[in-house]
Amino acid sequence: MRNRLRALRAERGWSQGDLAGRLAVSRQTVNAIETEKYDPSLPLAFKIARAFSLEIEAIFDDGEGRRP
Amino acid sequence: MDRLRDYLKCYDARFLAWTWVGVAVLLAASFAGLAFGRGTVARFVCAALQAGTMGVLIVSAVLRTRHLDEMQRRIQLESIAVAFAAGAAAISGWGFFEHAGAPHVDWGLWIWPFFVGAWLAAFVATRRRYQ
Repeated sequence: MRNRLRALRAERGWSQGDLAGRLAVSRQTVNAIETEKYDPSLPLAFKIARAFSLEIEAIFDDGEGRRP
Repeated sequence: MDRLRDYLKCYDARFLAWTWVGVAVLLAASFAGLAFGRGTVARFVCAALQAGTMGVLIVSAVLRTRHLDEMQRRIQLESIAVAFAAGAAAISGWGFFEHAGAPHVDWGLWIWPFFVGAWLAAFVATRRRYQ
């Protein structure tokens, strides 16, 4: 699943460790999500959305949303 | 250096180190027990030490897993699944060799070091997939 996590984090000047602390996960987990090697669970996706004050859809894209 | 610090922060290295200490205690108690006759108090003490160590290993593994985040839990689950399958395959596979004349292996003792080794190898391989 594609996501904008790295760009959003960079916009705010947060390190991976900073974001990991806000989400109560490890830095490796943040890195794996950013590199799209791991898709977060729904509760973690909500946490991420709240951390950036955005909707989940504004961060994650499963490629299905724009289909007719 | 950052990677090492992150690695240690996740308690993986520390936990695995303590697991190996547990394995060492198991092996030491097993070999120490051989010095005493069956039915003696010392032999029972060694057996109790082995059983107690196994209990501590199991409880510590459960407690550690509860502190992991969701991705780390997935990595551990996959690692344990691989280690379990490897352990089962090793025991049954060696059984075939024993029927063919290979020496007897006391799996009641050796399954623990084997399982921890397989767990560690599977953990390293699985973790790499998410890096």
